[in-house]
Amino acid sequence: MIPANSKRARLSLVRMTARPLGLLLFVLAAFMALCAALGFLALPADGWDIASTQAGAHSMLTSAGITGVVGLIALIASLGVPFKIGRREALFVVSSIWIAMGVFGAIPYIIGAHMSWADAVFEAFSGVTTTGGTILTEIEGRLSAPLHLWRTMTHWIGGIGIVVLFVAMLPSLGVGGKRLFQSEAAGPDSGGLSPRIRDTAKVLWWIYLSFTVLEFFVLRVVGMPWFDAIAHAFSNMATGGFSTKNSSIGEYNSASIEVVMTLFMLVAGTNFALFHSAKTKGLSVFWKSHEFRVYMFLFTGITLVIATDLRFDMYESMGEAIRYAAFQVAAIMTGTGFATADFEEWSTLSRIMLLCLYFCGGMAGSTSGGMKLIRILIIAKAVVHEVRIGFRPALVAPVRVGEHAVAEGVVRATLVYALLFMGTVGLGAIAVACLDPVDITTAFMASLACVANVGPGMGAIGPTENYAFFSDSTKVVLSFCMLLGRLEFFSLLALFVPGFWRR
Amino acid sequence: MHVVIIGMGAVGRDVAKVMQAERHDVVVIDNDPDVIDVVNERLDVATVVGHGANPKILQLAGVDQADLVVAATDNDEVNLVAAIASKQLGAGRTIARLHSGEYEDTMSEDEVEKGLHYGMLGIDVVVSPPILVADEMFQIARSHGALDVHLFAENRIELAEVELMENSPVIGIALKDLTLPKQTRVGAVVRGDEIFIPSGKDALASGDRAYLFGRTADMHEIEDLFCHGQEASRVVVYGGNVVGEVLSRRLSRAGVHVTLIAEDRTAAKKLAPGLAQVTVVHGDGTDIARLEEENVGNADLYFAVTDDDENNLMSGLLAKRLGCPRASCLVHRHSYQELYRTLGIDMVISPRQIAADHILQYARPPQVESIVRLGDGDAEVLEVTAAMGSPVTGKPLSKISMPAGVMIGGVLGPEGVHIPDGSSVIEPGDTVVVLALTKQRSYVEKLFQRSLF
Repeated sequence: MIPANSKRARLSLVRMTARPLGLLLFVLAAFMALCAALGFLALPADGWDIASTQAGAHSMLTSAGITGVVGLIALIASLGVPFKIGRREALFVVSSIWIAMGVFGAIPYIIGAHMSWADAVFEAFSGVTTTGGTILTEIEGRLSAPLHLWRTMTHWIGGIGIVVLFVAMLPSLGVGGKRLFQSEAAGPDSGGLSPRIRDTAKVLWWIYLSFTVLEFFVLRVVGMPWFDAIAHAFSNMATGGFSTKNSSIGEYNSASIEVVMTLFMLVAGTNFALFHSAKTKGLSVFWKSHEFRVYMFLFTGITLVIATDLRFDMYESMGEAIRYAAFQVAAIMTGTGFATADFEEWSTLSRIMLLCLYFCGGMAGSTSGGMKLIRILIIAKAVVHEVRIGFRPALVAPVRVGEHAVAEGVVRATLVYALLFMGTVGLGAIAVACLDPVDITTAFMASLACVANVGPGMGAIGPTENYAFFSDSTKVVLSFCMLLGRLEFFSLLALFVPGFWRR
Repeated sequence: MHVVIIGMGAVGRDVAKVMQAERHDVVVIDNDPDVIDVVNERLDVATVVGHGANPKILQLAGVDQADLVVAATDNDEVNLVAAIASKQLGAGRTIARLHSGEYEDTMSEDEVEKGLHYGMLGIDVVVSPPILVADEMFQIARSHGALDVHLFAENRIELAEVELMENSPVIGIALKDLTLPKQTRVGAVVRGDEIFIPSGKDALASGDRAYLFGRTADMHEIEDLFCHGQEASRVVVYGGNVVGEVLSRRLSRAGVHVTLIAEDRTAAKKLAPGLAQVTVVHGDGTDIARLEEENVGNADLYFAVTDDDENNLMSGLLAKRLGCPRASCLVHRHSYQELYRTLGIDMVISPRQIAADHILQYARPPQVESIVRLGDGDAEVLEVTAAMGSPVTGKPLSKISMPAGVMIGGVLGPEGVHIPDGSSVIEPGDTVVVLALTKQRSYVEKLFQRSLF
């Protein structure tokens, strides 16, 4: 039995959420309209069909209209409801905003590409959570230019986080903004860029926007067509993985494009706060960051191991081996999920190395997926710490990462996070296996690739395959896995704990 | 503005809360991680855990970039060192909160003339809560029955808070029909939990608390009209601490008969030599027999200013029971303030709030000279200099559209002070005392700043 006052608390929570939801839908509608306009950058000279672009633009505008009207209704419904953000409210607002993004993000696919609702929802959640796994078998012909743009745009909106944009735009959220920000945050280390959360959010969006524009121009310079450059800049900086091409980046077969994208994937996986402090304190801040050093060490180390392995296995020269290995390592590690090679054909050693990278992710405070390196570091140090305690029980020492002592609460939260990550991957794999007749690799990798927000997996969902063959229910389960992974479990799971609804 | 606040006690937290709400960049330092956790949870500020006098910690908090550093821990020496170190590291203005009377002595005017002042250490402002409290209590004792008194414009404009008793002659009459003494006016009214600025049609009711503006010299007249108070001639002060000492000394110098009750004999013995005109006794102020012996019932005013909130309350209530018409208590814990009023203490004074108010005025744009928060901070009184070309200058006040919730209480111009009416014109450079609801602050700021066009 639910007591009456808890029902009231639930109702006011829902009504209060209508305001940020309404605002979100307006923002989404604006982005949809932007896609309709930018779609015309897809030039016939690059093989795009003007008529289909026009039809696409039309369907994008229709979707924008629907989204905008629903947003307006939500805003009207929220009139007169006091807007005060405590811990509970922040969790609920952030979770519902993300669910709404996935649901409304699916509208253009249903209208513009006549997808089934499950396909559209999967594609939309894969977009906003920057996973990049697709249900499209034939990418180029199936979608019109504005829809291609929408796919990568959903990445871009979800990459740094829509709530961060809200906090940056809306004044007077105060400490409520901080709570919202933390509920969406990527990694345990967030904030500290500026004393006020609104300024922090603004700085993050500026860094994000600047790098996206920069990448767009650089891609253009190294020979990518206008339209593809925009789409890939969006997709890349968000560490998403949607491409406008069937064979992803491999389509261009251009070493310079691959180098540029590898670099920008690494940038997107770096803590954005470092770029901000580098502006005042110089480039040494990168090297001083323990996490950054581990990031670079892992990237170069694993690239070299895989390249050496591939050199004897597949490729003619070391240079070629490094080219493919580096791109793929960056793509998996940061959770982007682009592909230039079918890594399914690589040796077991190389694939195991990649598999480990699914878990790692990039740095905290970046757009990357996975568990984030700082967490891996904390867990590793906590393990060493426990072992030391085992033979010297009187030892009093904190868990340290670099110079910094990690608070016990943070260590505990990190361990719980890791358990949730593993648990979700495991349960997700079981669910997939229940719902679809797939082999063990496919079931496990589908779950892992979605929770870690990477995208392509191994087995039947490798870099050259896709998620289209799964049943509708599996697609919904995997969409939920992606959202859990993106919101780092706690925010979303709080809604399922009975105490959350009780006052 | 970048502000660093050292020490998250009641004062530090209050200052941090107001400053972050006003969208300043605030960094706070405290050496207790648990306190920092609470601050992180409640305020939109950056935090540093560490000792506030440690230059490394100060640097980490960015004092070198700070426009204002507030050292408000409960340790005077830490505050001094923190303020000095911050100044050395390049901070703008530094404020140190000092409790001890020891430091206060070097602040007297003769000492300043001899070159002894905190400026030489690099501390711009010293905020001493006990002295501020003693000042405020002194003003109350000098008024005709006011609950609280604030002075503005070189002490020439006064704001007095009075409570309306049932028999007050002003009750029930619309303000526009009320004949007030010259150069005075009603600023704001607190009714229940609400504070509002009354219009001409509003009438006052019994139990209201009214804020009255006037020239300092004229205030006794309007106070008499509203609440029939009397200037205190016999006062009992309970508390052998800095507040008690400074208050007794000031009152006795003004010709008031003061009895100072100190809690213990040693304290009394230490105080007595410095207080020539004051009767210093030792005793327990919560002992009714002791209070009777000191004839508290015949005093005009009773101040309980010990460091113990509960003793102050009990002692104040006993004094009222013995027949003292007005009792005032010091309360250290903010949240007790309203409760004490309900229980029958006439004036409840929080040193922390006074200190926070005092510190906050340095966070305002330079043209704001001082600021006092009224009620629970829902309204405030600002002392502002009207800028050349600002919207408030050059035309009669009745021609300036002002939203409800803003009123001008007094003007200090070259010809002296006056309380303006609709025909008054404010000239650039005048000091203006404005009472405004806090939510109207941005409007007030615009009113007094030079417009771009």
